[in-house]
Amino acid sequence: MAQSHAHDDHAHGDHHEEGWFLKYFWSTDHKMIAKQYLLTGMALGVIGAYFAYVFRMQLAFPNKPVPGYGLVTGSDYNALVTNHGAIMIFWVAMPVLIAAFGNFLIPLMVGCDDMVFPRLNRLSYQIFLISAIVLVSSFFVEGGAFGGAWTAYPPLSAKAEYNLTPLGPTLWLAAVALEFVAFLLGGINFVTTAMNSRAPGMRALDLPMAVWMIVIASILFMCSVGPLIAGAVMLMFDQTIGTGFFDPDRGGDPVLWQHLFWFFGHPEVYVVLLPPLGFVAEIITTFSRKRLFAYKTVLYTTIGTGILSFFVWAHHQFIAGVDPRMSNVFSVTTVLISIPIAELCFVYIATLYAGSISFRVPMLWALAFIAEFLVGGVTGIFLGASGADIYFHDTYFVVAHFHYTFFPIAIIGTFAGVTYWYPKMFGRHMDETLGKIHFWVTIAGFNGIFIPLFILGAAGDHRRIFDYSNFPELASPELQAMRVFATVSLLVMLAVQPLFAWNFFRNMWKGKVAEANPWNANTLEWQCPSPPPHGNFNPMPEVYRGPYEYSQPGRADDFWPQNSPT
Amino acid sequence: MAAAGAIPRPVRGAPIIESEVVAMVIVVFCEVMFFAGFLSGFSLIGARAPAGWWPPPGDPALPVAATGGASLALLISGVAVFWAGRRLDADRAGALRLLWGAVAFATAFLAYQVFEFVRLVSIGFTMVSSAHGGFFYTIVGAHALHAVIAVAVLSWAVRRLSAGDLRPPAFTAVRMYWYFVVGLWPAIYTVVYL
Amino acid sequence: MTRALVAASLALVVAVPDVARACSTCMDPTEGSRALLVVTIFLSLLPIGMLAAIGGYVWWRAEQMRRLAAALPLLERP
Repeated sequence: MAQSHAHDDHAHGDHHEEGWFLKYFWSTDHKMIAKQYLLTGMALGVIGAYFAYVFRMQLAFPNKPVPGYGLVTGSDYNALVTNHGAIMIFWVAMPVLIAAFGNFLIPLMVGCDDMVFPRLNRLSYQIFLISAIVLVSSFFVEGGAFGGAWTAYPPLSAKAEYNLTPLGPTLWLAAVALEFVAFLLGGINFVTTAMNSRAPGMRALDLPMAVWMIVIASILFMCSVGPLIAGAVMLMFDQTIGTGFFDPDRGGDPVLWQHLFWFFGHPEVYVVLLPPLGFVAEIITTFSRKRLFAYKTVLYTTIGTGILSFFVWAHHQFIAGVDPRMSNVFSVTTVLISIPIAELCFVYIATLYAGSISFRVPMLWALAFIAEFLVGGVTGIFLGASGADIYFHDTYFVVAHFHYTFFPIAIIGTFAGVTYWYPKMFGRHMDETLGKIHFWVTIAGFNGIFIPLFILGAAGDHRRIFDYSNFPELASPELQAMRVFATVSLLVMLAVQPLFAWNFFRNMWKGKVAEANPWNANTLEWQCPSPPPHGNFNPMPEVYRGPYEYSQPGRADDFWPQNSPT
Repeated sequence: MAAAGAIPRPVRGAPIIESEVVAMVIVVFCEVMFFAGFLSGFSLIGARAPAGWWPPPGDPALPVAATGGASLALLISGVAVFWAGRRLDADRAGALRLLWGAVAFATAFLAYQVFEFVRLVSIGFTMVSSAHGGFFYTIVGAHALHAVIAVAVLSWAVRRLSAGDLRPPAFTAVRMYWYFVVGLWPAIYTVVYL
Repeated sequence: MTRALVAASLALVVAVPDVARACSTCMDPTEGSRALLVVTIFLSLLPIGMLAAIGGYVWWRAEQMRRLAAALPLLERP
């Protein structure tokens, strides 16, 4: 029992009955850390959504005071857009999808009592919390928060005389760097636990897809983050002590940052994409009562995607002056990477085919994920072609494209995961009707926001302008009407989110009590009580088969739990 | 899938790689990528500079020979740790002496680097004098920082080891980190100094 | 005729790449872009190479342990 050895070594008896503080803030229990990550991520998601509300209002109704904020100045607008992007990717998608669900699901799904290094896990959350506090604090320092876009290109991000925010960029970078350290610590736990703590009898190919996806995402993150941290160190030295890494005057090169950033930045898309793809695999098999179509294909395709994702990053730099011959290579790899992703979508559709589908709320979110992500993927092909990208670059087409990828990932994926595993996390059910209303309005609102932005982008609408009234060609009534439509859709979408919050928090205490396996699923987390007690399983499970044995002929039940001997 | 009925109860196999070693492999992996980022940036900027402008004409020549000598001390410490790992079971006291020797050699290397930094700064070569200076101090300084951590970790491990209070995989992990710090240096020396 | 024309212009593009790469957003000197290419290849292959090495080692160890277990069935725990 390697994992219990490590457990003894690393958690010298932190597990007494603890007081309130120790239980909720100093716990080494993976389920508590998962909930901490989930709630922190959701809280920051509220902040990110608020930023989106403020700058969308400014775009639709320029230079009128925004209710709940006031007049938006140019530098306010920059800071809001920058931090909206940074928060949604680094402080919402990553902590919720990887850290929260990774922490909650991996020990339960592989059938062990906790992570291999529980105290490392606690440290990971604490560093993450500090990073979030540092980020939020950057809004209250002299000059305000960083406004140089979440990509932080120098020289704008490197010199205070250009960005006019002397402290904001440094705090922003420090927060990002701390956050990466937190996820490296978490990733160590995910990989090690999935490798060494699997229940007796569980082979690597018996792991549920969600575990595989989170592990592969962690490995991708580890591969790609090093150069960005190196770049962040250099950028921070440029900002604070005035080195010249990115200053052409003194022999530096601003494009170097772009390479280091996007070397991380593109694999990062797949880092956050893979976990929700795993959730979707769990959800659609459960609610269509079918085996996952081609388990090994999904696994190898995912690994292939991970490898390919290292060869596409320069498509973010087609107009940054890279050699066009190199652009050709990256165009080809970029279009190539749509093949494995399309394959995954087809596999999921094949899984649905001829299943007995029940449209419960998690299933709706999972199906929406596939549909909306397809739109994001297909529009990506236009941008991946270097010729078309020269026109589309920095227009709203790009904005709409990556929101059609990131919204399914960060928001739809989160809702799918939360609604599916809520009974296990809190031992109670969410309300189905409220969930369906929330689902349909959110999806309609989302498409209402971003379809107009595709049209705007194709019309040449540049994305880094905070007040179009200064640009007569772009301020035409037709284009402005689409901006207003997008903003109104956003307001509609935001208006139903309190419904989710109500559904989420109220049913923690008031919801219908959930049995251990409410969805009749196979994977191990459903074979322990809801919510799982400390130590998760009693007795510890033994595994006899793969995770997707639904509707096997000759069995009374249409599901066959992994740990059931017969 | 196996037929229902008389299925033998499954057993848990021994881990393929111990957890501590997996964790250290991941840490070293990330660190390698971190330094690869620095070294790529350094060589890229060097190659893009106009002919004769890299290193910038005002910058002093780096002490290639003296640093090469100091590198030897670091390499010796790496060999000592390797040797100690091989001999730990056969000759514990000897292995412990070798490990303390490794700590001493690495400390000597670090002392030389402090001396080198002080001397270079005193002749006006600083982080802000040029991108070259920035890269030099950042890369070599980052490596030195890792060496300091490695020395601290190895000293801790040796103390635990002499008390007989260290799991073998943990010791393997410590040695891996040491090999990383030692093995990285020739790459840095080649790219930055030569 | 059209096909010949296309072939001829393609051949021309291949023969005179400097003309083909005339574009308003491209300003990279050739020496720098060679260095960029080398660094790109290095940085992309490094993690994948390391992963392949680690993965290969894990696979080899797993195989070795499996063979060992098959050779000594009596020592396996019940």
